[in-house]
Amino acid sequence: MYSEILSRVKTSEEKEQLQDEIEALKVSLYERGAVFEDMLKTRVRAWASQQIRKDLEGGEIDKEKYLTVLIEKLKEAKCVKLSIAFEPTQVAIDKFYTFITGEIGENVVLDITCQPKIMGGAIIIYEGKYRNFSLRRVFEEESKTFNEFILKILAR
Amino acid sequence: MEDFAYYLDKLGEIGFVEQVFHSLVYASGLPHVHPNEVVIFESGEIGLVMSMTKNYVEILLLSEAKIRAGTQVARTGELLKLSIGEGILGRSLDPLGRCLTNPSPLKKVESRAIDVGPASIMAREQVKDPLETGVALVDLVVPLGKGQRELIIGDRKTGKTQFLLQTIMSQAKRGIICIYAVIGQRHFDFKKLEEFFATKGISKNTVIVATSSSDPSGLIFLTPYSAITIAEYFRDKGADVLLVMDDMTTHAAYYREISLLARRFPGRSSYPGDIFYVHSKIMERAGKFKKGSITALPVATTVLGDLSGYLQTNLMAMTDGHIFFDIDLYNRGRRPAVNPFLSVTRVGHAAQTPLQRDISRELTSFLVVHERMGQYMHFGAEVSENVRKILVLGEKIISFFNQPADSIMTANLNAILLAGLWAGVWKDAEVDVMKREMEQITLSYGVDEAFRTKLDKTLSTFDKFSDLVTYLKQNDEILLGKISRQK
Repeated sequence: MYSEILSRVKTSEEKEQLQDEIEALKVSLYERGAVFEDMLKTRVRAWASQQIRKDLEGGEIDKEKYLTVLIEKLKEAKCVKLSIAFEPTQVAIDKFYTFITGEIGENVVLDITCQPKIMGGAIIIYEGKYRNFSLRRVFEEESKTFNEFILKILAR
Repeated sequence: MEDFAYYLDKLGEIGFVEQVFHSLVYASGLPHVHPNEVVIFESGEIGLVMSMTKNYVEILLLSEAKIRAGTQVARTGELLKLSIGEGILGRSLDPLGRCLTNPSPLKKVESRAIDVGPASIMAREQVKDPLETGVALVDLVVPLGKGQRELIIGDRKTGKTQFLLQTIMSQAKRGIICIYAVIGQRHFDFKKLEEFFATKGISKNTVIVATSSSDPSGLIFLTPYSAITIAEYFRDKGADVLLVMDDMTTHAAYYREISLLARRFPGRSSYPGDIFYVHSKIMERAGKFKKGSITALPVATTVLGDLSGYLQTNLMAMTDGHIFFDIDLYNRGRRPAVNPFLSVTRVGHAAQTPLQRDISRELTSFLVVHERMGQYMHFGAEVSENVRKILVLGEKIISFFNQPADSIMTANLNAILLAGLWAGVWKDAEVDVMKREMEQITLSYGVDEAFRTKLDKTLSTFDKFSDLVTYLKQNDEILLGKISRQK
């Protein structure tokens, strides 16, 4: 039931935004009148409100419980920090997301930062593990050999 | 130590600071970190892992730097180590081994973990060699042995540090390595200590490990650990080491601060439950070993002479005796203000010669009698001739024990002067005259080698104090020959 919504949340910004929306919805449950419906229309993005309506239709599911669980699931989402050298497009984010969920499973969000100084490749941080696959690192490794080579040429 | 990027690359583990509480940092990540491991922050500061929970790693900061939430932190995979090498003598260090005064590099450096377990019983021996403090009262009544752990306890400003400096002066002049751990005191105190060592010319045999009260709590907490690690370095080279830890009540107070910040359950007087373990683990690292020895003199401060405090009794329980500096005696002008009745030495007598042991026994029982007589006199009772003699001799003995802060008395000199006093050499002399004549003998003992040899030889022939006294009664010219008396 929740996977449809969770699978649309790919980055940490999206997660925080959706979490705020759901929190606001949850608060509206305790207000008089049709505030919940108004909030769904005005505060929550279209795709999310559509999915929430779909999940709650029939009135069998308790709204409060549904929203609480959804917030919990969002909080539980594991964060993969990704440093790349360029500002990613939506296509790039989708690609990264598909690759990463394929490797480590569902309920993951990407925290992407743009660091041009790494030149290319990526630095990945997940559950305290740090892996540097950047081009800068490759250059630094290789430059140890380059430097000697260049110095030899200059010495001629 | 390498930089943050090196360790991040090497171990591939990263954490992020989530919360900062004074000297404690809580970080997420670092999945394989272990207790007591050193971690490095991206700013280059280091911290020590205290404990781990499911979500956070608790890190003790070892620097003043302001760490912010979100700062990256990496494992180093190493325990906290101290770099020790040739040339460390004469230096003042902080607990991380950074020189506070002389930044020139050490030679033949070796790294030693500062928090290690104590040596096994198989590596140990019984205390058998005496350690002369140079303070007559202590050397005669509460003697110490090399490898003994003796608590120096007393109120503030009762002359504890003065006694420790006399002991260091006495030992450093004999080539013993002396390490002074200044734990969270004023910066001024540490500077004064440095000056004292330099003035007395004993810097080459001393090391100061110092933290001031303005240093981070984590660093202050590590001071005795680093000091004993340096002591172990010299011990392993076969040297006899004297270690002063000034003072352990301050150390406990800083550990209490850290523990309360870490939300550990407070025990008696709010100290954490493991304070006994923390202190006894340090004390157990001292002792007499098959190779070398570490004599530990931890200091404890009392309040209004109360010996029954939590820390004070803890420290008494983990040491081989204590020397109590009594504020009442200090106020009555006694220097040193050591209370011989409340001071204890458990192994020191084993390191004495039979003659010294006999003197100690005789003297202790005499002092008890004298004290009792003194109390009796408070009732204004008329005294017999015998009691009067005891009181007069007692006053002279107390006066003999009054020693200037910068003087050192050798054990043999103490024995011969006391025997002379007992034998009646100064029976009719006023206290001032007696003190002056004793100083003349002390001076002769120091400069006249023939006289010194003669006295030492005389002493070596006796096993009993009464025999020595009888001998001096018959041959008082040994002492009188060095005194110029006005007739």
